[in-house]
Amino acid sequence: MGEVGRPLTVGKVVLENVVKKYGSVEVVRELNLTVRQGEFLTLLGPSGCGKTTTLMMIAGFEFPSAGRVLIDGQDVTGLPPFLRNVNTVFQNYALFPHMKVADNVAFGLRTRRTARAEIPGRVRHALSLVQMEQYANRWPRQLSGGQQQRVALARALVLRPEVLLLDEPLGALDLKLRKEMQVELKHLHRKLGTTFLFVTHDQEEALTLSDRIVVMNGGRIEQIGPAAEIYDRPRTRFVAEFIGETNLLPARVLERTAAGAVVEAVGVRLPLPVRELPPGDQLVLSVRPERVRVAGAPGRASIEARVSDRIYVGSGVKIIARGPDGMTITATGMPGTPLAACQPGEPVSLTFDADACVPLPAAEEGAA
Amino acid sequence: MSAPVHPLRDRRPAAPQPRTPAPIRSMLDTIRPRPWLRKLLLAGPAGLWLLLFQGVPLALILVTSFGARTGSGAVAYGFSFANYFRFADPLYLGILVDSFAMALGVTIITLVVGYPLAYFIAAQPPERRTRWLFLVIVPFWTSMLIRTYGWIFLLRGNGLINTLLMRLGVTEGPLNLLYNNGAAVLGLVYMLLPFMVLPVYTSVEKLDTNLIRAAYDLGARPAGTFRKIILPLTMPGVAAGSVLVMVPAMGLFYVADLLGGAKTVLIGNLIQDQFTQANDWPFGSAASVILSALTLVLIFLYVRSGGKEEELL
Repeated sequence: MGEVGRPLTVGKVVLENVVKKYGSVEVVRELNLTVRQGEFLTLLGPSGCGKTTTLMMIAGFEFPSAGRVLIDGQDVTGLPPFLRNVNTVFQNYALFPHMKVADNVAFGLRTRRTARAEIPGRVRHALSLVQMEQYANRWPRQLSGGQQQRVALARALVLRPEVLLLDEPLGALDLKLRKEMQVELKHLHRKLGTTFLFVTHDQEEALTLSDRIVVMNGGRIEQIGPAAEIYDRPRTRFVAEFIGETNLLPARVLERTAAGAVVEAVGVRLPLPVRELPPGDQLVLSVRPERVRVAGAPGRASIEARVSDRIYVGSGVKIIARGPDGMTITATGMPGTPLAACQPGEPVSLTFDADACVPLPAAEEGAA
Repeated sequence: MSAPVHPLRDRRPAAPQPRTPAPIRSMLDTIRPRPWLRKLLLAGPAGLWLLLFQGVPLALILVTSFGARTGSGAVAYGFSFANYFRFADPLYLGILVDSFAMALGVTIITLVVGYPLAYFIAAQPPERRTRWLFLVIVPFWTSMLIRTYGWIFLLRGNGLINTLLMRLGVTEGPLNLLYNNGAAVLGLVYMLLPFMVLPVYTSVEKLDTNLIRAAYDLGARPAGTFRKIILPLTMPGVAAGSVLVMVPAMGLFYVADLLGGAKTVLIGNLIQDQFTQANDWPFGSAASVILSALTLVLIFLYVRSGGKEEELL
C-alpha cells in the first residue's frame, strides 16, 4: 500500500513545534507530529484538546502562532487553503445546497481548471467509490445524513488529495450508520492508499479505524502509537482512563528485585518490571476490567470486596465492587464465568495477574 | 359529566387554583370552544383598521381614476379609461421610464454599498452585531422629511460641504451639489439603505461558514467563492432588499422634490402635483393605480423567482 520505496522518516505531513494561541490561551502547545505516507492516523482527545485546531492548521483555515507545517516536504505554514493539496471532509458535510450532487463533486475540478472532457468521468468514478452514482442528479437536501457524508467524501477524494482530512465526519450519524461508515472508510483507505488524517473524540472509533492514534489532551500529545499499544500500554493516567475503561489502583514499591520491583496495591503483592522507582515510591496501576477475575480461594493475592452493582452489557456482565477503603473496582466477564455469577450484596474475592498491570506515574505531569 | 380522574394522569398535589373572576371566566367559556371567534378577535382589530384606512382609500382612488375632472377641479365620477389613455402620452411614459430607471439605479447603488456592510455586520461576533444593526436602524427615529432637510443643509451652495471645500481651497466657488438628479439619487440611497442592509444581513447571517471553508478547501479563491457560493446563497436577501428599496424609490416624491429640485419629475412627483397643484384627481388616481400595479408586478416577479413573502417583512 502506498509508495513502498519511500523512506518512512519523510513525513507526508510534518508539524514542527506548532503553537496556536487565541489571545493568551494556548490551544495547541509545542506540537511535533509526523504523519506517514499512506497511513490512517487519528487525532483523539476530549473536546477542547486542540485536535480540531491542529487539523484546521493543516487544512489552512487556522494559522500557527509559531512553528511550521510541512506537507510533502514543502513548507505550507502561511499558505491559504486553496493553495494546499489537502482536502477536508467537514462534520456537517458542508455540501453546497444550491448545487446538485454531481456539481458538488465537480466543484473542485472546475476551480482547478480540469479539462472539461475529463470532469464527468472523474465525478462518476468518485461517486462510484462511495456507491452514490445513482444520486448524481439529486439535491443535497434530498439525501440522508449518511448519503450526504458519502457525497462529501467523493467531493474531497475526486481531487486526489495528498492527504484527506476528516473532521469528526461521522459525529452526526446514528450508531448503526456510523459503524457501517467506519468499515467503508477503512475500505476506501485501503483501496486508495491516500493518507487519512482523522479527528474524533470517540475512542472506540479511533481504535477501529486507525493505523496509529495520537492521543491529545490540553493542547499536547499524550501518546502516539498503534491502537493496541495505546490500549494495552498507556503511558499516562489520562490515556489509560480516556481509552476504554480501567481501574486505577494506588500502589507502592516494596522492594527491588533482579527483574524489577515488587509492588503492593490494595493488599496484592505483584512483581513488576519497573526499575526506575526506589522502594517506598508511589505509583498507580492501571488494570482493565476484563483482566480482573474472581480468585479461586481468598488468599494473599486477592482483594476482598462486595458487589454493589451487576450490569448486563449484552456480551457479558459488568460487576462494580467496593473494596477496602471504599474504593471501587470494575470487572467484566463473559457469561458462564464465576464473575458473571456474582450478585449484588455478595462478597467477592477479586484478583488480577501481574501482566495485566500497567504501571503509571502517581501524579499526572503537567496537570492543569 | 366529569370523567373519573386517572390515577396516573393526575399525580400532582392539588394546588390551589387561582380564582378567575366570573366575567372573565364566562368570556373564556364563550371563546374557547369557538375557534372562529378566537381568530376574529385576534385578527379583527388590525383587519378592520386596514379595511377602513387602506382598503377604502384604495377603492376611492380606483373609482376616481375612472372619473373626469370638471372645469372647477371637482371630480365627475363615471367609467372611462380616458385617464389611463392619457398616460400613454410619451411625456408621461417618459416620466414612468425615468422613475423606473432612477429607482433601478438607486437599488443598484444601495446593493453595492449595502451588501458589504451587511456582510461585515454578519461577520462580527454575535454580541457586537446588535450594536451595528442598531446603528443602521437609528436614523428611522428621525422623520425622513427632517433628514431630507438635513441633506439640503449639507449640499446647498453655502452648505457645510461647499464651505469646507472652499475653506480648504479645494474649489474656488460653490459646487452645484443640490437640485440635480445626483442629489436625488444620493438622498434616496441614504434613506433606503437600511432596507437593503437588513434583509441581506439576514441572508448572510444564515450562511454556514463551513460552506465558504469547503469552497476554499476545494481550491476556490475568495472572488470565485463569492461568485459561486456566497452570492447565490444570499440571493434571497438581495432580492428582498431590492424589492424593498425599489418600490419606495419610485414613490418617495418629497426626497426627489426637495433634493432634485424642479428638474426631476418622477412618477411620485407627478402624482403629488395632480392632487396638490393641477387639481386633477382622476388623472392623479390613474397614475397611482399604474404605480401600484407596477409595484405589484415587481413583488409578483420576486415571489415567482422563489422569494418568500416573509423576507420582505
